[in-house]
Amino acid sequence: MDMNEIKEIFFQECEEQLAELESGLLALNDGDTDPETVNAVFRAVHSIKGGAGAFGLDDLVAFAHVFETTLDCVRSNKLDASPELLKVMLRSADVLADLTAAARDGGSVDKSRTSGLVTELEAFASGQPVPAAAASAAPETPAAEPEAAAPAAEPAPAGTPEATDDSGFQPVPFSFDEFGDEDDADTGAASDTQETAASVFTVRFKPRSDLYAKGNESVLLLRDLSKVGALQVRCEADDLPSVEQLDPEGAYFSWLIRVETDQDEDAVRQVFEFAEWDCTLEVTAGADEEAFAATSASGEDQPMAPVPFDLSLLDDAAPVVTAAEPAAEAQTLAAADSAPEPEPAAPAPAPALAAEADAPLAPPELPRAAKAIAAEAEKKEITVAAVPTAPQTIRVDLDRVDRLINLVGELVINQAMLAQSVVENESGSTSAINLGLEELQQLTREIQDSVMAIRAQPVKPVFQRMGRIVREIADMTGKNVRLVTEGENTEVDKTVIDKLAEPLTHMIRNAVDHGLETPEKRTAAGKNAEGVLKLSAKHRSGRIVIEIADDGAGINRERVRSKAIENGLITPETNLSDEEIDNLIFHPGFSTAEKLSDISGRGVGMDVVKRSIQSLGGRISITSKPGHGSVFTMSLPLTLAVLDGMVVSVANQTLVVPLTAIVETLQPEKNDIHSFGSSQRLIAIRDTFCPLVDVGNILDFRAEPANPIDGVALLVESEGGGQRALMVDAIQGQRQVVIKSLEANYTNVPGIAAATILGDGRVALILDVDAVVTASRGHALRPEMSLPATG
Amino acid sequence: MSSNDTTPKILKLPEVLDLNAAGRLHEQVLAHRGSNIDVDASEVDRLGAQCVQVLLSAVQSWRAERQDFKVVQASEAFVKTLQLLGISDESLLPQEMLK
Repeated sequence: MDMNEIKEIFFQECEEQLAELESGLLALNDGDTDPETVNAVFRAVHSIKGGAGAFGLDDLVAFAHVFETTLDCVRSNKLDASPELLKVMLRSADVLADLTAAARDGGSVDKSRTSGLVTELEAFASGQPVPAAAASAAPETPAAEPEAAAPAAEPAPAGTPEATDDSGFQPVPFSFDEFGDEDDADTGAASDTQETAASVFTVRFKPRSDLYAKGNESVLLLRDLSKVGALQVRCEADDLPSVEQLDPEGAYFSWLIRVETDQDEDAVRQVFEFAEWDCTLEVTAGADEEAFAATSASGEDQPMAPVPFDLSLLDDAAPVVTAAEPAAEAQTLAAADSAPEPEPAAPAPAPALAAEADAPLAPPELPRAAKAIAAEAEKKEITVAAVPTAPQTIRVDLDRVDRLINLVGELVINQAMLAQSVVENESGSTSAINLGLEELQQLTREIQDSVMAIRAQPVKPVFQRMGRIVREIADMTGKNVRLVTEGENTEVDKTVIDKLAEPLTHMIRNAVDHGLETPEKRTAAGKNAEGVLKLSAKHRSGRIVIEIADDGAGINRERVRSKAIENGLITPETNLSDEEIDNLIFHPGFSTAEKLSDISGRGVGMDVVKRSIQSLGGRISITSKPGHGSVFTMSLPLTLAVLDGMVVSVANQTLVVPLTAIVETLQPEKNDIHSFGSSQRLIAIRDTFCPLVDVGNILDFRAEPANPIDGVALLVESEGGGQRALMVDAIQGQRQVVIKSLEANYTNVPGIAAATILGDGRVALILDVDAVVTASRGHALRPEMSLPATG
Repeated sequence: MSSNDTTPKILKLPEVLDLNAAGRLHEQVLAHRGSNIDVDASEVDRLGAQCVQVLLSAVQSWRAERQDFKVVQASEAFVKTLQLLGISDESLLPQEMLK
């Protein structure tokens, strides 16, 4: 496995983590207060950061780090998961997704957006949320900020490296000049820094054996900790059994550690970040002298007095800060604190600078990134293991699955051919052969179902992506929108999923942009200012049905109608049902938006959506209630590989009609057929009349409509267009056919959805029922339906 | 191996005593049960916490039997790691080794 493959796996995992992240954040947004949700969210960001570190994706690491820091504050209850914070976090999740995508496919990410969010996140983490406007107005990256602040402080060169310390947590640079100014926002952060200067933390660290099993090492963790500050370490070995009972791979030691550092608690916690799921970790501010004393007192038998650890003893750990150095810094800062006047403070930074210069410390972010890479390289396993146990899965190249599916398709065809030739040579066939054939057919079917199940995936990822679209459009249009999703676990073929995103995006945009009203209008109409967009998926009779429902104003039929007349789509006399008016919006070139916005495009909207849904073998329709909103319903085949079809003959051609479209079949009686207008015919079915559509005529197989009495009528239901009776010459049978794309092998043929190979080896076309029904409605509605001679 | 042998046996520790070495070390230590042991840690370059657990458990187990299991020679890395881990057992970390 080469590096690229590993990287590819990482990105796949990223996708999963991002999905996890988003669903977690959304759950929090909906009022979920379960700490495990926060943990899951944190883990997701953390894993992405870890992996990104291993691959040196610095942008991703940097952003994930800030994000994670803020999440950690939420996790440790230092920060409340307020709606404002969650809004920022959701946007951060989007940016994280962008950064991941950029890292994967190249391309760039809007830097100002990233840095704006970084500022906002850091502000939250420091407990001083900045107004969103201010944050987004700050185009500088945080890394650049200390420089910007530097000229303000005369002795500033010393302050600059100080401000972005190793942990990267100091959100706002401080300058010594500002110490006296209580009102200044920066001062707050500066005095925060003062408080954390030379603070003491007590760390209780008890590894579990998993920690070692995953390649972590307490020694290394303690060594890293010693770089954060001066340590006093007390090893507690009470649990250590006798050597006979000892499990050499067990974890018996635990540690009580006093850390004296100028950094904050997060810096301390960060040392254990790759191990924290496999140990008990407690970090408390302040020295727990009692604990140290107590254990010392009780431990006369175990000579484990706290050992002050001198960092200078470490030689093999690359660049090491001397123990004296943080102390020196601490003193410097203390001095600065006690001398708030700029002048006396001025000399103080000098020693600090000296101390910095002495320490062979690389620029702040570097050692951390380097460490992350090193740590992650051998500890990748941990991030994987941190994910809650899921059913075991393997990753398989999609090509392999497709090849298998193709082969199974061939098998199905072959099986059909075999069956056919047995039938043709009926004389020799025995019941044993027939029985065997039947079993073969059943087996083939089962194999096919199982293979299809491999490609079946929940629609969840696509739905989750829509959450982001909604947020973005809502932001752009100034509307309040809540996206509610339902049935995310409904499974459908991966090809369908892949192709679903685009039309869905378009429809969601439309729904928010045109469907939902502005908060003011909503309030005026007595509705909740927050609009609700409901996205749901469900299985219905072998298809997946996806609905997008908004609770907006609904379609303005008057306007649609007048617009359609204006565009010459219908004549003023045309009498259309409400449903048919609604469906006008799917017509090419139709747009009711009086103001063209860059969101819903320039009137190429819904017809494009309709076409892409149709190319998936799907149908789309709309129902709308004025004042109550609209519902778009898409119905798609579960798979694009096979379908159950009725094989029919039309004008000596063999066609396949998808079984899902057929409501019933009937043999027309002479009395049931009625003429209507010049060329239209109706068929009476149980007290209702249904337009009769001659398929052969529509597809130009024959010029003159055939006599209905000689044929068979297939009653089909089309999305939105009501029922139609399709006239065919005869029904040959019903079977499962393997779909071969016409677009891929030939070219798109209107009225034909795809092709298939029959048992006798001939190609048969699969009828696009919806297109035929649409075509039957009248020429004005179907300029694209002028069919070339087919067949 | 006679259990009452008073002249200590020498247990020479390998260079690397990391996570993977704990099992092997444990076996070695168990094999010397019953004898006084002088541990030669002068070659130790890398020492992990699990190996320290084995060694400290050995010290305590030997002590319970009134026998000796003590480090007589130690590398700098060995000493430093024990210090870092907060281990100050006299047998593992004799005072004279702390300069």
